[in-house]
Amino acid sequence: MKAARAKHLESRPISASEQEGFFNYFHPSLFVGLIVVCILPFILTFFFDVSFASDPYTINIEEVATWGLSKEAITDEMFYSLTGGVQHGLLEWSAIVIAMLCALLTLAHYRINKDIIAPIIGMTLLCSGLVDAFHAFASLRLTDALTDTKDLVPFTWVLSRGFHAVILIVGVIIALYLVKPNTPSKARKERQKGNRRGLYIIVGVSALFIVVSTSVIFTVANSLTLPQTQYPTALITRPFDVIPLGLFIIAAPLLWTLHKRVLSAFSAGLLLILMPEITTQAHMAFGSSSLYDSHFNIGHILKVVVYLVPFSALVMDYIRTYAELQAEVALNERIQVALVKAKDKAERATNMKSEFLANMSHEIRTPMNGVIGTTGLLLDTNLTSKQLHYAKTTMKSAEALLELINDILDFSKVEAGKLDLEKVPFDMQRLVADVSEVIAIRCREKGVEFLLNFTRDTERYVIGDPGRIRQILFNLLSNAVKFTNEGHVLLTVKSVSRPSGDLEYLITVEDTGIGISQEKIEQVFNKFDQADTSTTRQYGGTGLGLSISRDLSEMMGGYLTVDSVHGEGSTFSFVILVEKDTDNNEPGEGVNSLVNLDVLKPLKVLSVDDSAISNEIVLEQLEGYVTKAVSVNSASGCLDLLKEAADLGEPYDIVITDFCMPQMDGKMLAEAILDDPSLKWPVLVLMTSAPKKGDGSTFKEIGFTGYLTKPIFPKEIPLVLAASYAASISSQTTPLVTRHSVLGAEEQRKEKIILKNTHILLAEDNAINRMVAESILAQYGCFITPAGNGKEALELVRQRDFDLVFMDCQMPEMDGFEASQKIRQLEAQVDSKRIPIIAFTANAMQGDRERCLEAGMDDYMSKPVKQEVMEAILVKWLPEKVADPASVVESVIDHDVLATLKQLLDGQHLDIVESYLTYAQETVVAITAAAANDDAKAVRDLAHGLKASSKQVGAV
Amino acid sequence: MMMRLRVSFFVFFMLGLGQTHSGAAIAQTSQVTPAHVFQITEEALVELDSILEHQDLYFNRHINKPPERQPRHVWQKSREVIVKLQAYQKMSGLEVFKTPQLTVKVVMPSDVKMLAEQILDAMRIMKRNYGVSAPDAVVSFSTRKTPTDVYLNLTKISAKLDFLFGNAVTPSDVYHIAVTIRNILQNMHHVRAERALVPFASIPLKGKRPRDVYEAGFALQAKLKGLEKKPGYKIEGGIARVEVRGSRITPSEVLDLLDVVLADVNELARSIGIKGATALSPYEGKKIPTDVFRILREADALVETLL
Repeated sequence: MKAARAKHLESRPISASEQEGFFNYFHPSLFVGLIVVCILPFILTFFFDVSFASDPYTINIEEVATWGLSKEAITDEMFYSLTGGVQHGLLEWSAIVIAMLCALLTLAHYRINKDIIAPIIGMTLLCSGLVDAFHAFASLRLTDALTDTKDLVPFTWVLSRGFHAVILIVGVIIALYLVKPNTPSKARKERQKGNRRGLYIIVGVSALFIVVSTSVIFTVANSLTLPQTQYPTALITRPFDVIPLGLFIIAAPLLWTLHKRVLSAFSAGLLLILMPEITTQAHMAFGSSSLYDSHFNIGHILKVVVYLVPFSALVMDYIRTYAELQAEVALNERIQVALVKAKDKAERATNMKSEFLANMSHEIRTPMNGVIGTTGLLLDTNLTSKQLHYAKTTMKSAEALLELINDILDFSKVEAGKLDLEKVPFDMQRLVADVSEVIAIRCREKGVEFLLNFTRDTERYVIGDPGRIRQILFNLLSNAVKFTNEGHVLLTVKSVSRPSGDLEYLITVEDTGIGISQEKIEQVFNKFDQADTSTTRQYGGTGLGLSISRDLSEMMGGYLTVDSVHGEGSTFSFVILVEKDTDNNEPGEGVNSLVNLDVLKPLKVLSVDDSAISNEIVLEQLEGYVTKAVSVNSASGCLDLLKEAADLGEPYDIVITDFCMPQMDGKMLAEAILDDPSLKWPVLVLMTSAPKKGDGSTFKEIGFTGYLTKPIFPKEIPLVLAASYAASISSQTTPLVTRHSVLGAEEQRKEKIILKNTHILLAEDNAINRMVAESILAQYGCFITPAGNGKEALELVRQRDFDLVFMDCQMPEMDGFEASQKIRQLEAQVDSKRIPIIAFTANAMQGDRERCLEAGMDDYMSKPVKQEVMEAILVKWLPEKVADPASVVESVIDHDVLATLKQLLDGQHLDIVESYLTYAQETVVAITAAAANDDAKAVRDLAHGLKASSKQVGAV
Repeated sequence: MMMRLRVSFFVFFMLGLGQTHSGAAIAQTSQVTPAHVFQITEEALVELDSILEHQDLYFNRHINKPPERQPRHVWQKSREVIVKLQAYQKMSGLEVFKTPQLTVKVVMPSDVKMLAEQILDAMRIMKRNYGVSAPDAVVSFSTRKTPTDVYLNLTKISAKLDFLFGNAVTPSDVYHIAVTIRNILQNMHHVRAERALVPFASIPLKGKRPRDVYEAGFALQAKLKGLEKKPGYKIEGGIARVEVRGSRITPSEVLDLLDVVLADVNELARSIGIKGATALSPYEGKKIPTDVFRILREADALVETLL
């Protein structure tokens, strides 16, 4: 705004008023008034014999003392006798004070207008004031000068006037030098450009003037004799005063030129001061023959006028500037009103756009659900390589499209202020590990090392929005991988407890990628804006990710920053505030493990990795677990260190080495170690960021006991090393120790949940979506009953018992909301058990969840349906139905039979399975009835038939 | 005069214009008018200025023109100047001029002219005594001059003499004038008292300043104005108007006022038929403003008896 205003002022055409010049800045009436002030005393004195003299009060103080007066009366008499001196002193001080005010105003003038001329002239006035002050001190007998007072007082007058004339001329010459003959606007522009230079000039000129003026004062004050300056009976009573008089006449053309170059009231005032300057000098040079006489006093009065004129001119400039500012303020107010209106309009448009985007994304997500789901199903079928390629391409494209839609939806939610954060308990370490696993795969594909440093004391169990944190992490890490072609991507997670009890997480994603230049670094957070368009072309992306991540960080009470060096890499850091989950006392991984970490205590470990960060992570994890942990950044260094330690009789017990290292890799290092018996054959553990099929047997054969793929997750190193060491000292042959072999069984079990005898009603009008959901639910062993709309669903609930209902919100005839309400009413009427109803919809805007809950639904699940979300919902609402997966999987379903069936029927197997399930249910009912009737034959026949059918579909 | 010359010079300097002085033609008449007296006092002023210039002294005090003055006032001012010149004459061993006596008669310009000439003579003698070799000044005659103009010149001469001699008017200088006024009023009291004299309160006075004395003189003059309105007290031009001065009052201002009062009191005495000269009270030294104040309060009480 400021820049625009400055540009406007610079570019505006020179107004007529600016072109007019002198009288536009100094009103004619003031001009005439000044002439009158300067000429009138002369006229009154010369033609009307009016005296301006201070009458001398000739009095004999000694005699007055004999009059018997009070002290006060005597003091009065003494003051009367000093009237002339006091008047002179007052006039001089008035001039000095005005000169100083003038100088101050010029500085303020410079501050406002950046007009360098004003302070330069102001400094001349100030320095003149300094010499005037010296003269005033001399006349009031306040100086400690060496010379006689009768010479000092008149000489200092001449000195002050002469100095004033000279310094004014010098100041004007400097000003003329600085302001070239340009148009006013150009001159203004130049002055504005040279702000700092102007300041230096002002300081320099001020210092010079002050040094000169103080030097002059010092010289005069220390002179033993001074020349006579008064000749009362001569024709020219004060001949020295003719010099400044002449100088002022010389200054006239200079001041006129200055005014023409810098049109202002101040420059006009400077030109006008010549009138009182010249008349002052004339009165003094040709009129005043003694102190305090009429011409003397006129001269001094006019001297005050000399300073008053530029002072008044500066005030006029201020008034003018104020008036201009007022006009500008009025204009700005009008603009502001217009801007507010425009802003409101834009905000309304933005909200509408956000609503539109949300609706659009909703509309797109529904068919996308079908595309992704069916493509997934398609990929599960037997496809030719070409078909497989096309299907995978379709899946990738659909996922990319979904990601884009999700970004747009998030963006529109943030824009509309409708993004709500969840507050649920979760395991931060688990979340980070999950994200890291995915990112690590991408890193491997690009040959980039991925490192994870979940620092030791970082809190795990917190309450917050894991989905949004995951989103930020994915975004930053995906970007890091995307823009890094070699080197590493490092994810560091730290937490700090705040006095309020909250946890502050500092999560940093560092990469060694292309980096961002300083000019572009601010742009990365702009919406739809990557560092430059070429980046978009090369790497793709919407440009929304970072913006959304920053918004999310801020919504979580933190911030997102970036630090980057072009060509060297970037570091994105975000801080979020979450609550500590004090209810969760679950111990960390490994604590319940069968691995005994105590075996590590007496051991010495050597970490070998060309990456210092990786070494640091290893050492940090080992801190407190081992006697000594040392790192080295090369295989040769490792060998040297091992040899040295062995020679000292303190060999290392474990060597954990990276595989990919320059010159000598992990495999070669291991071979070298094992080839040298003097190295005491430490336990060898390998870390690799590029695992390959068959690595396990290869490295086991070489002699490694442990094997880890990067990134290394929290607390893994001590567990793997302990397990590896335990295996190495075991007498039995043990397999290669990996992270999987040391993780608890519970972790593995989680991936295979099965629900026992679970009947689910799936109300969904869209056939494709229904098919996708059915397929997922079938994997959990659920019995699914489909319904095409709310009415059908309600009818089915009336007829049968269900363990859970998935209810689409938008359906024909009766929507999910109404159907849910009616189900709840039905339950209330018959006093039956409450069936969990899970909203199953493509809506994702704020308020949807509340609306679903208000309608009587219990939870909310957005489309497209994701397996893990579906699983979480099932575990949450049907925990009693979750069966022991091992027993179920191994004893009920024969997957080989099912797979054969699937392959043979080319997708039609589901119909057969469905028919089988219906048949099985009916048969079970018939068997139950036959048993109730003690009809053993019927029971046998029915059971036999069921057994045969079950074998056919693998339901052994 | 010098100042005007300088100003003219500046004007020439500034405007580059020459200017010729065309003085008015000197007109001599047989009848003495204030203009004649003025001419003499002008010459006396020139002579005095030459002495000051010779002494390298520059008198810079501005003296304002007084309100209208009558010849009797001018006569008193002339007497004041002569008294000052007598002091110089005594001090310098020169022949001392006689002190002019107050006469109870209408003062005419010719009476003043006599004193003015005496002053001019004394001035020229003094000039020579100071060693000033300049020829005697001759000032051209100017018409339309009033007693007030002459009074102004005499006031300037009086002030410049103080400046030359380095003297300031003292309360003692004022005192004997005040006593003279009181004496004349006493005479008038004897002739025309309409009520008994209320003795001036014998409250001890002290600490009076010239300003207090001036106010007392002013109060006395106000009463005289009242007296002058009574039948038989009519005088030419009435009681003189005196400018009210501010707080800066010196014995000089008081003397100036009392000279005027003396002239008017003397004329009032004449108006009621008191004849013969009235002796100027002899000079007494070491007087202070309080003494003058007391005398003026006595004079005030005497006027009260006449009202």
